[in-house]
This record gives sequence, C-alpha cells and structure tokens, in this order.
Amino acid sequence: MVASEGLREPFAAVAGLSMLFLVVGLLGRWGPVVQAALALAIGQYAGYLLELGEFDSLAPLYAGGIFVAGELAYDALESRGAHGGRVGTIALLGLAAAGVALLFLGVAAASSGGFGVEVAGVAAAAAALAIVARLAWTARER
Amino acid sequence: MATPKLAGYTGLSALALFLGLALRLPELAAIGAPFALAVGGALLLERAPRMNVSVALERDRILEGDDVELELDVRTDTRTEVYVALQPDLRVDGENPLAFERDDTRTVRLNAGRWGAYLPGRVFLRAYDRLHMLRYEAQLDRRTPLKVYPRAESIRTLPRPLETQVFGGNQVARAKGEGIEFADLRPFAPGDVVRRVNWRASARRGQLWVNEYHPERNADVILFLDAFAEARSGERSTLDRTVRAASALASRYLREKDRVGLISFGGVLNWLLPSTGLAQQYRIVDSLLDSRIVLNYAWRNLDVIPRRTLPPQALVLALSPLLDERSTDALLDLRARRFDVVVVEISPFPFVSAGRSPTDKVAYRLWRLRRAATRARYERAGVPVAVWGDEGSLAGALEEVKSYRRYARTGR
Repeated sequence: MVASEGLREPFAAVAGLSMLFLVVGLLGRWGPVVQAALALAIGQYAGYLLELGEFDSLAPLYAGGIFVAGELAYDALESRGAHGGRVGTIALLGLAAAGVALLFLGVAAASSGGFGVEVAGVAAAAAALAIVARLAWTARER
Repeated sequence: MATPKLAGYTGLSALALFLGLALRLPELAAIGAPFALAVGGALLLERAPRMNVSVALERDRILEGDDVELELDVRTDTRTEVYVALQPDLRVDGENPLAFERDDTRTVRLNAGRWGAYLPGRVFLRAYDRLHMLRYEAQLDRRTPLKVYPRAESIRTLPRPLETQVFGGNQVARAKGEGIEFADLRPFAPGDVVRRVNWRASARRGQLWVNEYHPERNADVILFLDAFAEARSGERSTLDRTVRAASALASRYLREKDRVGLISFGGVLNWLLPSTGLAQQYRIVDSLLDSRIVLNYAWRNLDVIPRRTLPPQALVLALSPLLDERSTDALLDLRARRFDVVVVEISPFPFVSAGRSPTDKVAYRLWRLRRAATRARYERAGVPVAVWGDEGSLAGALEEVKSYRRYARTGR
C-alpha cells in the first residue's frame, strides 16, 4: 500500500506493531495477541482506504492475503506444525477468500446501494454479534 | 469445543463489517466476508467425528530396562491425534502423540526404566473439523497392567540358616539321619543296615561301628525389608537396591527348596507367609513391586506382625539402610526372641553428601558415628551386619556374613 508522505510513518508504525504482535503471539502461543495483530492489519487497511479516498481494486487480494495469514497463524497456534496437506488446503482457502471478497464487491457495486445494502450490512453485523455471544455463553457453561 | 480460531475469526469479521458500515467502505466488508463465511460454514457443517481406540500390550511382565510394545488400534474418520499418558518411569521410545488419518493400527515402544507395577493405556484423543474451528477431545481409559520386575543382583553363596525344618531340601541339618554328609560314628545297634557299617573303624575296634549322616532339609527364610525411610539421589535410592536384593535372595532360596516369606516393615506393613515354589516367587516379586516409602511416625513393634509369618527357627534376613530406630529395635527384639537374624545394610552414603558448612560436616560425622553405634548394638547381640555400598557387590556383602558366622560363637 502506498500512502502519502505525511501518513507513511504512522502507517509504518501500525504495520510494525501488527508484525510485532504477530511474532510475539506466535512465539508465546497467545491467541488474543495474534488476533490483535490481524485486527491491527485490518485497521491499517481502513486508514489506508480513508487516505486513498477512492475504490481500491486490490481489495480481494488483500482479503485473500489476510485470510491466509489468519489461517497460518492459527494453525501454528493449534498444532505442532503444519503438515503438507494442510498448507495446500490453506492456499486454496486463500484463493476462495479472495474470490468471496471479489464476489461481495461485485454484488455491492451492482446493487443500487442505499437502504438494501444498509440492511444487509446491519444483518451481517448482528449475525456476527450473535455468534460471538453464543460462543461466550458456551465457553462459560463449560 | 470451539477453538480460539473460531472466536478470533468471528471477532475479525465483526470488526471488518462494523468498520465497513461505519466508514461506508465496502472493501472492509469484503475483508470481513470470508471470515464470516468460514465461521458460518464451520458451525453449519459441524459433525462429531467417530473416534475410538483399543490398546494391547505385547507382554504383561518384563524386566527392568527392557522394552515392550504397546499396540494402538485407532478407529476414526478424521485426522486424530492420539496421546498415551504414562507414569514417569515409563517412557515412549519414539513419537507421542501420534497422528492417525484413518482407521489404523500402530505400535509404540515403551521402555521401563525402573521396577514397579504400571498401568499404561490412558489415552487422550483430539480431532478437528475441516476448518480447525471446532475441536473434539476424548479421554479413554484403556489401562492394562504391566509389571516390571527388578533386575536381580548376582549372588554366589547364601547365608545358611542355623536350624532347618523337617521337609527335604538342600540344607545340611544338624540332626543325624539319612543323608550323604558324614556326621559321626556309633556302635552298631540292632536294626542298622549293613551298608552303613564302617568296616575300617569296625576292624580297628574289633566290633561293628556304623556311619551316621546329616540329612538334607529345607529351611525357613524370612526377608525383612525396612521400609520406614530411604536415601535417594535422583532416580537411585536405597529402596531400589533393597528390592533388587530381596528379589535375588528370594529367587535363590526358593531354588534351594527353602520356604521364603516376606515382611515389609514400614509406614505400610505388608507380609507374605512362607511358602515354596514358583508361585511363591511370583507372589514375592509382585509384593515387592508395591514397595514404597510411606512416611509414618507411629511406633511399630513386632506385635503387629502375624505369628505365622515368623515361624520359629527361621532365618530372618533383614535388608535395611539403618535410617530408622524402629526397625533396629524390631530386629533386636527378634534376636532376643532367639530368631536367627542377619542384617545386610544398604548403605545410604552413596546418596548423601557431607554438606558444605562446618555445621553440616559435624552433623554428618555425628550421623556416621550413630550408625557405627547401631552396628555395634547388633554385633553385641550376635547379629552379623554386612554393608553393601557402591564399592562392593551384594555377593561380597553376603560373603562377609558367611565368614562372620563361621568364626562367631553363637550362644543359644
């Protein structure tokens, strides 16, 4: 991502912080730290989009990339090492993630926008919240 | 059970979707969409996998230091990790956990570093769904007994009991009767068989004289284990040596057709009535496998031991590190009751260091002097004490007992 002169340093700092969190989280096997690293990456991309001011056609690539990063990071946390088959699966999932992102953007661009898109977005966010709440409830019960 | 990945992906998709909504950036929502789709897919397609395992040991009895194979027959329809939980002295020679992709049977080599009774076979299973969002775990109890027998010490000669019993054996009895060891001469009496006539003595004396012999009889031997305390350094301890010595002695005496019993005198009292044969050897070794030091401050004397465990005229062969007064008093009490007592001291010095400070060194010297005083108490009572330490072997210690009994005069 190429940022303007004034924002290069803050972007680099956030990127560096994200990398640091990722390395620390993987070395110490701390899931929340890895999640914070990925969240920082998403936050940095949000800042970049705001600074860019126009539609970013490389968004699906970024979606695939961050999805692959997430898969590899969590795989490293859960098991003692990825075996050959798993790496192939992750690569396919990354491509699928990029495809999903592309499809999503295509649908968003083709739709007239406005109220329908707003409702779909709110519904998706609510569904994500519901899943988080259910996971928390299940974890508490265990 | 949800993995941290499921919660993490849910959080990331929620963050991306919220940012996309708040900042009106569809690209961010596109970032969050794959994560949300992965979470939804994992929850919708959730299906508990089939996981089961059965365990079989190649043998249920091995010697200390030997290897044995543990067969794992795993039935599963997904990639499953199988971990076999083992006690500390039992080690896996190879990988643990093992990964199984499908139904399969594999063997794991176990090495037993120390004698004892073990129960390998508690198995932990773990599997994931395709996206590693959900984790399935199971713990199965497939424990099967494994007995690891101590490696016996080599013994050349055994301390011989002073008295024998009435049944046939390999010990030369004091009494006279039918046997092959010459005992005495006496004048011929009606009823004596002609082949026992000593013609040379008869010719010299001018009348018939016959040979008398010592019969071979068996004896009763009681192995007395002092289990009040032990000296330990890392994985080695006086209790290990005691158990190995007891196993070797029991095996040798039983081979001589003697009756062997066992008393483990300590925090926990165990005993075995004297008996003969291979079955008794297995009983003794199985009982030794349960030997452990249990700290107990209660005073114990011989009254807690059943009378039949200590037959009269039995040889009581005590294996003791001489660390606790209670066992010393019990053995001297036995000697006072006219039992034939022998003590093999399992020296604790290889497991104890003198310490660095002057106070530690003085305490160490005092401790050694007290031990010498205890040995003197035994010797005044006519009980031979042979020391088995790092410098010598058990066979050497038993030779000391033999030479002591050869030259000592036993007052009866």
